[in-house]
Amino acid sequence: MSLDPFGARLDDVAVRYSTSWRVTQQGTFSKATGGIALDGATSLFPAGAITGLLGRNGAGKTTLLSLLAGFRRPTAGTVRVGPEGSEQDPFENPAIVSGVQLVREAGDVLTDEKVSATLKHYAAARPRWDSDYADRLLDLFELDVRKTPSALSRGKRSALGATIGLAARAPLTIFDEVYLGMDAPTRYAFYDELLKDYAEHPRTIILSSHLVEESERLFEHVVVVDRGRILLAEPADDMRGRGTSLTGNADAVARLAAGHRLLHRQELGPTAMVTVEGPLTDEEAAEAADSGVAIGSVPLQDLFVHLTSTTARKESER
Amino acid sequence: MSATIDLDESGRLAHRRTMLAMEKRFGGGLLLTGVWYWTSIIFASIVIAVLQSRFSVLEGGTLQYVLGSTRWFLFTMGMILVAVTLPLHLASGGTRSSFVAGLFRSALYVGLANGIMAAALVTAEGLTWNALGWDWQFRQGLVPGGSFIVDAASETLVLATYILIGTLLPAGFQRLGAWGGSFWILALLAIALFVDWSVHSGYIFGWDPLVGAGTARTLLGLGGGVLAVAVTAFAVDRFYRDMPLRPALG
Repeated sequence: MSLDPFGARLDDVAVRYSTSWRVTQQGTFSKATGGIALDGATSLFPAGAITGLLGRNGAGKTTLLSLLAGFRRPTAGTVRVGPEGSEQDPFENPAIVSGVQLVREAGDVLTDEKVSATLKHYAAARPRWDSDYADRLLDLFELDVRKTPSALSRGKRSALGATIGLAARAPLTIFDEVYLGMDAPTRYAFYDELLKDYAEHPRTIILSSHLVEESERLFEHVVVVDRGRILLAEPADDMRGRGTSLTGNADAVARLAAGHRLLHRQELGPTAMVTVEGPLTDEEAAEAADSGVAIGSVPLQDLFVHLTSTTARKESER
Repeated sequence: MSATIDLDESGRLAHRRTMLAMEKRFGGGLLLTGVWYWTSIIFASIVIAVLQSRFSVLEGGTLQYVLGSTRWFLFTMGMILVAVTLPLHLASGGTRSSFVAGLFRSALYVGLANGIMAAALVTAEGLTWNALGWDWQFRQGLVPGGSFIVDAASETLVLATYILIGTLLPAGFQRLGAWGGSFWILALLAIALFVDWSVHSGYIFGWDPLVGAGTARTLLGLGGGVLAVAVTAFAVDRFYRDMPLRPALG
């Protein structure tokens, strides 16, 4: 049975954790401290697109993804996931969660049994699991199914997660920092395989990543989370056009930047380089040309860094 | 509209598929470790019997001294396996509802398999002891002298209860906190004592002061066992049905 790609929507979602105890996979108890993970998050993850989920450590990305997979309920607000026009609350909704594959950094594998045991479980539980494709990916990532995940290196465990995520062919596939420990050739093999399979089997993919520079080519849509709030959610091309860099004489650059939100500033003697939000007007562009100020675009990673940096936050609050 | 119909249908299929996958993982894991457990138990029983016969201290069979460990073995395995299985089950597209259903069915059939094994061993021991001309007795059970079906049913109910109690212990700490979880252990212990007492499967005295041996006592005992399973199953449902899977803050 095939289902259309799933979209997802969050409306004013808050998640607050209380202090709790939990049992680890080793059978011991550990105390988890409380905190606010999401605070009024509103965002859309369009169906049938690859969305990059960006945010600094502790921004709330993992919690947000856990909500989409029905791993937990929000403290407040609503979460809707499903085919366009039929979105539903994913929590305890078998039709929805069986169509969502969240690959977490932690793995969700049987750490002390052979890799093949984990794959057998996913094959039994996942309706669209492609065993042949899983075998091809295992070959690609050079994974030995006779080993236990606990005996694999960090990179190989991540490759196992990538294999599960791709072979599940879920209408909503989510990778939460799946690249951890992977070497560069494996990461690029994963990106290529992701794009190839996405083209052959269209679905919705959310990719949470800190490696913005190397994964941004995959993104059609971008959501940036910062301190539990959605900073922006828009097509990747719109985000790429958000930032403008100005390099030249410090006074001229300061004049041009005056009407814009300043994201970043760097000075070296009489020369300054600033990043401002939004494009320049035609008049400003002409003035820049007259005063010898170079106008440039800002890579997505730089823009993300500037938007979420503590300095930018303080400056915008000023 | 068609998407809604597809979703309803895929929801029903997903519930069944993930429940069976969960059952295979949890119940299959318990059965697999059970093979090792029973091999050890049979070996230990034979060694004890040989030693007892050598030193002439045979006291009516050896199984009654070792069978009690089965429930604690399954209790421990239930506690460990549940911690591993819930995240895997949810990550592979299951719901807590299919998890609870798979857990309950696993507890029953694993209890049944082990219950039949225990009753069969007791019967085999009785036949062996009698054939060797040794004095054999089994002091536990609802029927004096033992009854394969009643012993198997009793053990099934006891073991299913203990498996479910094992899964409830970590859930208690997660849902009720450190202090609440500690008091929760006492509540679980009370259920364990009740089922032992009811089917007279341990050293705790059964119904003898209230009802003499007979059909009524057997039915009362088994009814108590069914009640214990029902109470623990209800608690499993309440504790796991909306259990959040907490990620590391990120």
